Amino acid sequence: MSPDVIDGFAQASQLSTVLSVAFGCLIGLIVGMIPGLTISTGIIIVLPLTFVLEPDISIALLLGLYVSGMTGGSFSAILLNIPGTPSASATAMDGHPMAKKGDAGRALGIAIIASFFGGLVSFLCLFFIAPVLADVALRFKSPDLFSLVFFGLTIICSFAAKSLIKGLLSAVIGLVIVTIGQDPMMGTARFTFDQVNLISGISFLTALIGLFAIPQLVDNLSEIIKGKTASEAGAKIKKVIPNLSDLRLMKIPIGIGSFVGSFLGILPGAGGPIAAFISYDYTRKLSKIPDEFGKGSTEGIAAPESANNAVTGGALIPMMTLGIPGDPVTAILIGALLIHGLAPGPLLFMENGDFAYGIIFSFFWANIFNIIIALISLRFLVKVLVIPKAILMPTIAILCVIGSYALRNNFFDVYVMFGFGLLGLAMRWLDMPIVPLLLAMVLGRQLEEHLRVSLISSQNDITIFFTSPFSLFFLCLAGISIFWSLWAERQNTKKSQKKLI
Amino acid sequence: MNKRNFFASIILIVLCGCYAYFTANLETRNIQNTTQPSFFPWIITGCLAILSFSLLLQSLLTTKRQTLKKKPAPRDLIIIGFLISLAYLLLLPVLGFLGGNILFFAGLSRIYGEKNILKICLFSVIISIFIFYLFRNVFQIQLPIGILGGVLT
Repeated sequence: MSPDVIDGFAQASQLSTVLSVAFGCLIGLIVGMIPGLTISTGIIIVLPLTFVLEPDISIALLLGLYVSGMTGGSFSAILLNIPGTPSASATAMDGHPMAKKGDAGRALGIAIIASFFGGLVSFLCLFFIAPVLADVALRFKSPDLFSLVFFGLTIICSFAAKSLIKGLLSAVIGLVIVTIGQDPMMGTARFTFDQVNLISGISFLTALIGLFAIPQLVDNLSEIIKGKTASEAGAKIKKVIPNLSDLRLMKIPIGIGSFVGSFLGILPGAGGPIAAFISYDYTRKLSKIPDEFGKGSTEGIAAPESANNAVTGGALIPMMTLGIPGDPVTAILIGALLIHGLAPGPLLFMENGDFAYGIIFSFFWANIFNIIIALISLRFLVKVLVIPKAILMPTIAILCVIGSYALRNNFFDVYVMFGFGLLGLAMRWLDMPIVPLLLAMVLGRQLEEHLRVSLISSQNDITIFFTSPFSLFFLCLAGISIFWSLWAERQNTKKSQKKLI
Repeated sequence: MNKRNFFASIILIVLCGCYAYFTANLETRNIQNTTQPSFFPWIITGCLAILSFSLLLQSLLTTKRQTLKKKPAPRDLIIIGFLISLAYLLLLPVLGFLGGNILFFAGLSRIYGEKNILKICLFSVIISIFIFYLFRNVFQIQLPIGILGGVLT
């Protein structure tokens, strides 16, 4: 076994790191279960903490939150029929009917156990695939890297938006923002308007806080849950561990969910909700009792829950090996690594192998603590659902302000954060997705750098992108993702027109 | 016509024009066989122009009216929230994080439906002080105290 693997395990198993994972899991379960708060918001809340912690401890905390946030989302979906996170929407379809039958504890138990196995399978994928992929990625040259980043951006646009044009526009706005500051090749100031604060560019994390938190704070003004309380829901929880017949029924759905989730997690932009619904659909088609679906089926809970947790490990694969985030959470993880001077990508495994494996094993611990904390503290955790929004939302707003200030101890970042909040609201109003903008901000500099280095090395010969097999492969994939998205959009328009007729 | 998309495309075309103007005025370097700092911004300008005009065309050809998925938040509350945030931003350097946060918390708490003045005062003071000391003393992040500096130090 490689010494990096052993060092990584030792690093991830240190008391401080393990405690950090456990704390992250607790926060993740709480944040995930509160409707109106997403995992990204949870990460934004703890983000200032990561500035002062060691990189391995910071990442462990964020990973715990990421993994448990996915599981926490199912709690409110099952108990209140309100998914805590978008990924838990599919779980509500069978989880809530089971809870209504008086089996809320059993439904939650199935969700927790399925989440655990989904996470575990994706850990194995991460452990075995990531180093191999990183090894391949080391052979990539600038043209290949440009095409890879370009493909990453196009696929995110295809998945994230109903309209490809709007998805691409969102990404281009992100690229416009990324050009503010010093030119990556020559250091020339661009679009800084003589503002000293703009020379180092717009911080990705500041933009992220504004783009996600402020629209969510506004959303919560209209989303006040009436009639259902957590106290009522909590009272329904009796036996949490599923019975033997449930465990037997869960095997196939967990297998399907784990495979679909891990695979879709690797694809940038696909994310938890898609994986959850696809695995739910496949499981229903393969089930011996398909009529049970929608009425409280064990398989209907196990499949989406294992899928959305399997997405987490899958999403870490492109983030760690290629430096391409699959979703906002992995984009934040990249931001957190960059703050500590560590750049994710193939070189992470070569230069900081122990740290890279440390992340992988922290992910393993996150799945272990997720199941332990969720099973032990379930009855207590659901009480969190009664925290009034009048306390919760102002607290989040204050944490967002402090988080953006703490990045550089600068009020300018607070103003930028609010500016991005307004941009986020405007984009929401225009039905434009935020995720492509955010990921373009992460990938934009790499895209420019690789494009310019490639052109300089080939003396402005554009065919360099088509002569390298890797580059050609990624460009073909980018083309396919664009045409597939256009085709899907056209089909949807035709369908809706037929319905209107 | 889809008015929302039409409006968005017009804003984006204006943005594209401004971006092109500033790109054209970017500093150039006299280095041979290299790309200029304006190289990438010009590519972005091209993409932005193509996509914005595509959206404009799409908005003019679409007849279907867009529907909002979610129930919109009450407009008056959003405006009040925006004004509170604006006042908070302007006063933050003077009031500092402690004083500013107490007032900001109280204002937002009222918007989110809390009517009991005592509860608002209590929670805004306790939570703001707790967060302030947590970040300042435990995480060692130097949050400015503002005009309350004399009282606290």
